[in-house]
Amino acid sequence: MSIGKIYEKTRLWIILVITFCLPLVVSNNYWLHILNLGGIFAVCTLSLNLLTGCTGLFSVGHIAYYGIGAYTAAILSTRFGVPFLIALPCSGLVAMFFGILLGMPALRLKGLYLAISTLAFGEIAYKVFLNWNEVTNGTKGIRGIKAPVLFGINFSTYRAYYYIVMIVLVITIVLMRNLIHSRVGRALLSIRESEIAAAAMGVNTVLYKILAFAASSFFAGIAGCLYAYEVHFISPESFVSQESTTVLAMMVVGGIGSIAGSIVGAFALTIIPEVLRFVGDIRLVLYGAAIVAIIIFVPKGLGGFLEWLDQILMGKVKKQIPEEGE
Amino acid sequence: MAILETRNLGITFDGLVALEGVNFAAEEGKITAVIGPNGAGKTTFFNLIAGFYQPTDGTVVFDGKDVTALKAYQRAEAGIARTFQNINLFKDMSVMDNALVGMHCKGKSGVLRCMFRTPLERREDREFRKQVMEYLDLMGLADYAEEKAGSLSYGMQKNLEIARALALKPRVLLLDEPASGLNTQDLETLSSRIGKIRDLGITVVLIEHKMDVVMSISDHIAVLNFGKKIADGTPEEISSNPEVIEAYLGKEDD
Amino acid sequence: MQLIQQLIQGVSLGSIYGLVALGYVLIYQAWGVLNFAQGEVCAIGAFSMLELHSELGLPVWLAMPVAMIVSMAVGYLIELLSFRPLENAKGTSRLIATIGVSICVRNLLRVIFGADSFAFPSIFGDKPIEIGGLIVVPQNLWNTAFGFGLVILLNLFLRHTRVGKSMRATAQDKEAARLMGINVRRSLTNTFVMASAIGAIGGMLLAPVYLFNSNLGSVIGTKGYASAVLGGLDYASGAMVGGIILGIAECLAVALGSSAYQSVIAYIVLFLVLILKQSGIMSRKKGVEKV
Repeated sequence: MSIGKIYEKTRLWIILVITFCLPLVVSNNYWLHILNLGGIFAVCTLSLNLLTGCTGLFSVGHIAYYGIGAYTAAILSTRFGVPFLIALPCSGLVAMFFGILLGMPALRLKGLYLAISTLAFGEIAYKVFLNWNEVTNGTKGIRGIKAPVLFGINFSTYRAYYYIVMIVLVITIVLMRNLIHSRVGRALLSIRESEIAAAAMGVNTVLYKILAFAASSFFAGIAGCLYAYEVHFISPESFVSQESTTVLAMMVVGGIGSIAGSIVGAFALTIIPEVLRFVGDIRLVLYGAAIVAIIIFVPKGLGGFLEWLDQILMGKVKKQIPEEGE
Repeated sequence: MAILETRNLGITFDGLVALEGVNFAAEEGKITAVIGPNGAGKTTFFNLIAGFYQPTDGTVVFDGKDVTALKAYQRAEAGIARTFQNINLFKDMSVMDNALVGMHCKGKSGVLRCMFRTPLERREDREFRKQVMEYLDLMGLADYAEEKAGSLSYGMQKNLEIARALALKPRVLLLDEPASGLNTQDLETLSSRIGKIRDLGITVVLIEHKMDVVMSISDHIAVLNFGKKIADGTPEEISSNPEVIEAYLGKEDD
Repeated sequence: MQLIQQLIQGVSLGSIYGLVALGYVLIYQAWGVLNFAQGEVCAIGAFSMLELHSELGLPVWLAMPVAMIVSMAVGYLIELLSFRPLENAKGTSRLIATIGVSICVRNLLRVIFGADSFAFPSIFGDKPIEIGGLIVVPQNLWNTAFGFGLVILLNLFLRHTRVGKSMRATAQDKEAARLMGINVRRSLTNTFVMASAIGAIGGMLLAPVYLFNSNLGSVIGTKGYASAVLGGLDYASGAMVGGIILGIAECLAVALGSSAYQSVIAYIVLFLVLILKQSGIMSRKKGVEKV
């Protein structure tokens, strides 16, 4: 067995083992928190990738679904004492409801016009978080979201919660992967590639676009719920429209349409600003410049770069296609 | 028996009459060609049949049923497949995946089944891949199943268009200029493949400019000129029809 | 009466929105990208004005053009460093690159000016005057005059000068323009710099309206592209129409007693208009798609 073959067989397990052991090595609470945020954003970016990367529907207000998920979880947990395992799917479902609600009228729009309508939705959601005092507690936000307790274990430390985040992330990855490589996923991809040809193949483009909105907002809501339980306190400031562009940037920096890319992009853009903390105030300037630089110099995204590395390690060489194949 | 019929079909764009009063019928299991000079409204005619345009008047009848009100995807579901004159493939998807999208209507797996890869979904997927391979094989693409569609040569992309449409298992296949841009050798392969498609029991309707191809493979020919049907008949009848010769053959060199 | 008051306020505000939107439309037509960094270029205009007028004591008539030049220089740099290298990239990548630039510039402003808010010098005086029972702030009148005046000037420029005509030709069809012997490269740059100058003026006029801090760019930007899209990105005249509709919608929201939801109402208007008219108000596109 060649090294390439061994690598191909074991690479998934290597990544899983590293993921599992990481919190045992990282002892600093601050960095564990950053890792958790990275994982949460990875779920959110994956959800955006399904909508924008796979189906080609531009969403610039994605953080709204994330926020709706977070508020749903916070309200369920603090006011009604709903346990984590029930709050999690509920957050997804509530976000999905709004995703479908926005998706239906927005389907008539294309490209940038769709983008702006999702942006409008994001702004409206933010203002509602900010001003609907009875439900969201306005600018003061919602405090005291208790750590989840599962099977008698209290996941109150960042290290313990890390495992919950990673389990949800892994499940999300598996579900997304399955979906993209299936009948439904191919229908979504075909809409991105050519809506007309998709319709000619019998794909009900309207239905599948709504479906993409639904599935995408569901996972964004899940990510929001994870966030609420991570920080125990949420306020509207976490869901401003700049956050939507951050998620978009994570997707693009990682590589549009690529699952690996979304994950890498999310972790990279969560960690880069933290690593840059030592340079002081100028770090966000560098962060912006880094986004531009990655887009210019790594056009296929960090994920594309990793996939290329992956192919090399597996020892696979791309075969040449002859000009005439008859 | 006619499987596909249009009755008094017409469409107007911004007051401009693109097609008017076209009565057309395609016999089941035959190859019917639609010919006519550039701008005669042939592609518009296809778009009306496939449901991409809504006619201003007239009806489209498929298999004895009026399908005029159906949307494009519903007509594909019903069994009308098409190819595009300007290649319209899913360029960033593999050849296999392109053809698999063609099988979309035959599949039953919904979102949840797909997400959780239930045994039912796996079986369906395996079955579809096997069937799709047959069509790729027929069109000479079996060796390129994993390549990106956009990376294929022009001729192979045209073949993939047909393979993808075949994957729908259509009863009627609309081919929009399948021979354009092909060299002489490829033309022969194409003709024999279209013959094979007919032998599978699929009714073929094609738009074509290359008269030798049309004359050699068609069972029936309809001629459009300035949005109207001016003639209809066997290849022999058409090639001796004075009106056709004047409107079409007389003015063009091929 | 209060309604009319708000209407005037709305038109005044809207004409500046329209001016900012014009910058978006110009760049969109030439480059095919909605430039999310345009708001920051506007903010740079406003901050330069603050620095030159309040700190260095330059008179308004001198400080304004100098501030414009600063914005134009920054615009040129943005074009050089982030637009040109991505000319052949995918639309999404280019869009995100502009977001990257906006993050970069916004935080640069924060580093230089801090997070505090400033009092922006009122260029045209803010002492209200009374005309026929209506109380009007001179700034409002000037805003409207400036907004419309500049749009007319720009139109004349684009239609009647050599440089302007080249810019229009480039925006319509790059290949054809190249064949006609137009320096497409330079026209693209000219358009960008021009849009930056317009943005700078928009920024200076809008700075007194909003909380003037390093976040100004994103506030102005949002209004700008919302107006641009509302009017229809393919139509320069749409920018003004979109801006004024947005301005009036916002001010009417205040008149109807809901300042908390002021911008929500603006966005709902935006949303509804888009649903009804899918490519903006001024679009003339027909429903039939080419297959």
